[in-house]
Amino acid sequence: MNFAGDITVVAPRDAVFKALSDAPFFASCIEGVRNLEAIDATHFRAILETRVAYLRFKFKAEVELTQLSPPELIEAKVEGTPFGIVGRLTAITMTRLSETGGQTTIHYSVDATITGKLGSMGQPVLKAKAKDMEKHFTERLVAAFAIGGRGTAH
Amino acid sequence: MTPFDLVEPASLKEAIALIDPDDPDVRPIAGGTALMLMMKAGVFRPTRLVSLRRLRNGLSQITSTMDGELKIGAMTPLTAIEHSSEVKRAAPVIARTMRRLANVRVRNAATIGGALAHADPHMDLPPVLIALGASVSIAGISSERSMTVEDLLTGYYETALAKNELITGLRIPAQGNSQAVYFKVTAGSVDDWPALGLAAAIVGEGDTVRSVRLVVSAATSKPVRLTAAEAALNGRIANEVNVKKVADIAAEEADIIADIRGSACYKRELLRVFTARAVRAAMEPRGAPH
Repeated sequence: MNFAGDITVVAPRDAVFKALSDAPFFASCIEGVRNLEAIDATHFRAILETRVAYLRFKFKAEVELTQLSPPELIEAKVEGTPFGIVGRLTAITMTRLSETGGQTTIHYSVDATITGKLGSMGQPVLKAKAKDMEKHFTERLVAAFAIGGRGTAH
Repeated sequence: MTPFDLVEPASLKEAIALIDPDDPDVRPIAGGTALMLMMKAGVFRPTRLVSLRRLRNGLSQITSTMDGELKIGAMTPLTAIEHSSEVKRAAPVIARTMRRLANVRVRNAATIGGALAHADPHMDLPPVLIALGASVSIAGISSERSMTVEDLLTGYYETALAKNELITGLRIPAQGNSQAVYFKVTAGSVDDWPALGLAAAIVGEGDTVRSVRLVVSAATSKPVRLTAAEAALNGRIANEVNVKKVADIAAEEADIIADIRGSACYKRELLRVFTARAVRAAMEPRGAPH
């Protein structure tokens, strides 16, 4: 599964880079993330829970920031182990930032693979859900910068 | 599996009252063939299941009118629909579709209402029912309403039903001169879930298409009508040039999802091929085998 898109926020690139590389802020923009725990400066652990209709998908996620090149590039690797179902979610996310006239555009791409029983049952469902999550993430991110400075997205 | 309450109300009113609209972990259960799979997979952990088993007597009749309108109770098992003489007469495509729908054990247990409420886009009956212009009757806590099957299915496992509403029946309008076909295309074994489902219902007059409904499923997040392809075929002669053009339009307009049954590109090609086959089959003289 591949997702890609652009999000534009009214903020300088340095500030956007700082915000996106701050795990608690980043996590606050994603619906369903809780129990975020920093293992070290580049490794994090969290629980991701999402619902599709009456179904609930819950993952134990481990995130590694594999490349941080301020103020332009953030690359991360996500590995998710679902609760109660055999499978694994692996994703590589690439985020590039460009600035034009006081606005920063976030170019993101996600390459995700779901294996096991989770893949056969959950991949199309989670792909449909990912579109909602993308929209939600964009709204929270844009709102967080719109209210001035970085703030915390809720 | 975690423990849960199982309640068996004796009336529709009681069943609706037992479904908590604010708790997604409370679900009605009819045949249970789909819900049990979700529970075994661990993606659904109910706190309470409201069994509709005791509502069978009042909600499992199949009736038809003289002109061919069909009414089927929501708790009717798929097997009963498959073997119903009324269904074979009024909408033979349904009986033909049943032969490759899951297996006999599933068809014995699964109900038509449960199958529609489950809203898995891989299911065979929803595209057929949309092509036939079917609608469902729905009961809520204090009101009843009806809705087309097309409007009922809103997304992957999602319907337009409120959480405390139940499907009580299915109505399939008289088909008149319409001829319908369904193609189930599996990429793995013959009894696998489909990579593509395609239903077509066409009223033809000689070689000319007077009205057409084309519905794609399984390759999309819900069964959807191919309205651009329908518009391109309506009123036209179904010759090879026009059929090929319609198949190309169908392949372009559908929002295809890739999964383990095939890439989006592969499924798009399947859609192109099977749209043409479905149109040709639905335009064949009556009685021709499909």
